[in-house]
Amino acid sequence: MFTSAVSNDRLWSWQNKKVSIGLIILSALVLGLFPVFASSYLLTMMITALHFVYLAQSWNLIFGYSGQLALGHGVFYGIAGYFSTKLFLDANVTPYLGGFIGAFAAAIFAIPLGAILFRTKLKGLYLALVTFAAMEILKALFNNWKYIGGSVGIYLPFKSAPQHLLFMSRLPYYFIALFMVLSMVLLTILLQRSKLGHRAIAVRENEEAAQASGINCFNIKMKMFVISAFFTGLAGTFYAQFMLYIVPEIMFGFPNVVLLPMLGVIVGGRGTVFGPIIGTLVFSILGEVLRRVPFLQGPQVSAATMMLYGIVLTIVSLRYYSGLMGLVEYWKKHYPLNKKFSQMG
Amino acid sequence: MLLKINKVSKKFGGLQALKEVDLYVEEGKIIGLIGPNGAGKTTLFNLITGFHKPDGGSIYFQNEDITNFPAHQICQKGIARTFQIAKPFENLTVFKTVTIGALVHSNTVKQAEEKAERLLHYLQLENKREKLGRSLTVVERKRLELARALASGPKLLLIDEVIAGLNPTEIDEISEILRGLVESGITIFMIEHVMRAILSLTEKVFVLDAGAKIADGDPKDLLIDPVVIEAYIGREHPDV
Repeated sequence: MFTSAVSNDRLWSWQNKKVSIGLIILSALVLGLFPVFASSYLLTMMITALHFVYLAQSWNLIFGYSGQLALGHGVFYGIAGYFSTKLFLDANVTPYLGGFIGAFAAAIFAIPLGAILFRTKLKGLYLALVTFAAMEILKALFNNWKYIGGSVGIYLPFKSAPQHLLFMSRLPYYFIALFMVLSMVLLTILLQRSKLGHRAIAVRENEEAAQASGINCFNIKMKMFVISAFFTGLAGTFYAQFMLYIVPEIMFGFPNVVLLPMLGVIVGGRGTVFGPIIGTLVFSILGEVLRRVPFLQGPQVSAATMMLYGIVLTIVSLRYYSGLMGLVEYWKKHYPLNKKFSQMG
Repeated sequence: MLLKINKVSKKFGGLQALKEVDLYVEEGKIIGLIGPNGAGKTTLFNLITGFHKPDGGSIYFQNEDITNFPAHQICQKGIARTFQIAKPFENLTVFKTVTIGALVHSNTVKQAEEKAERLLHYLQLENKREKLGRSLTVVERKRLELARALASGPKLLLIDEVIAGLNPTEIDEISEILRGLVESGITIFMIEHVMRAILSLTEKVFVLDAGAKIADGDPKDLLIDPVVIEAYIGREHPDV
């Protein structure tokens, strides 16, 4: 019922600009000063949240913009995370470089995988199942592969080595994560304005009509899939360097890599620049709030979290399918900030 | 000859949708394609535009064999189409939809947007600019289909029932637009049930019935052709 189409009213865009600049300055202040006031616990929580926001932004490229329900992004996260970690530990390649090499490896892996998925014209649920299966297969392989530590996993050294993306303090990680999120905002905006972005949206909306407009649907899906895989891969390296421990169960795990970003994109608003950010942050905060509820203990917390996720997802799917961003657009349309201006317009 | 179709056949399971149809479209004209329901008109369009592959025969566009080209490539070659059941981008605005249509031969998005702007003006869709695809009426959807198809800058435009369902004023408006397009150098091949429009617009008509071409020629002559009348309303019973 709510839509993500932005009204093109002149006055509105002028007002929008003022509001947007205000919001940007405010968020810059909050995000910049956050580490000064936050406890170490809060800071860790925020880094994790930003990491999920970044994953949501990466997944938004394939689901939000191209409409392809690929649920196996752990494949790229895991491949890249393992690649850069192994390069670092065995060949002493700095993760700054290794992260990109790993992400490239993930993107290269995405090419044959995507070719199979999109040549066979898998869609919707079937695409979701096959991508999910690919992730499970890789998890099983990595669990039984001695060279990369099998199901025991790999530890990274706990030491300060800034040249190798290892810090004793949480602060650098916070700013790296923030930088990744902001880069992704920029990238998404650029994509939205590009030919590729327009074509991806056409493929999402209606493949036949897209074809009739001269769009090679296979080609577009492949490009978006590979790009999404690449950026998901970078997050895998970040996670490894931050947690200092990787194991297939986590790196190829649906709950760790896919679930929260997916909820964030759907609830925040698919195919929008800020939807994935807002949605993922809301879920991260909800999860944290539940942790503080006094009568919930241990496993009850995660059970309650899952229930809450489910409830929110159901409400959004049933009623507000363009998510929180859709709600924002709706408010802007029906309750303008300055009534006089909108009446004049 | 802009478009030439040689002995094209198509089967869907046990149904022979088209059998050995020969057809040609000359440049700079409006050509009609008529026939009763189920005659294979839309199937023929689907074959020309690459949405289905023919079982036999060949299709030539500007003397190039395009029989097995994929749909998007045929659009790039210069054949655009509208769909009988309009397929709008439901969550996109009219303007965005036409912009996407115009991307084919545009170097930048900005260039495509300028083209879309001109087309919306030409098709009198300007006041619907920011409306979403799903909120359009059937008539508006058909007009949007036309705009999207035109945006790709076609040499040949295939129109699948864009007039049916319009009121007389709207028919005149659309007819005027179509004539303007032909003047600007676009060739039109149109499926239509509204005979008034066929008579006033087309120079030549092909008649399909049960997958076969049964007649072709000047529309005025065809409407009194007993073969065509029989295809539409059946034969007089010998006992009557």
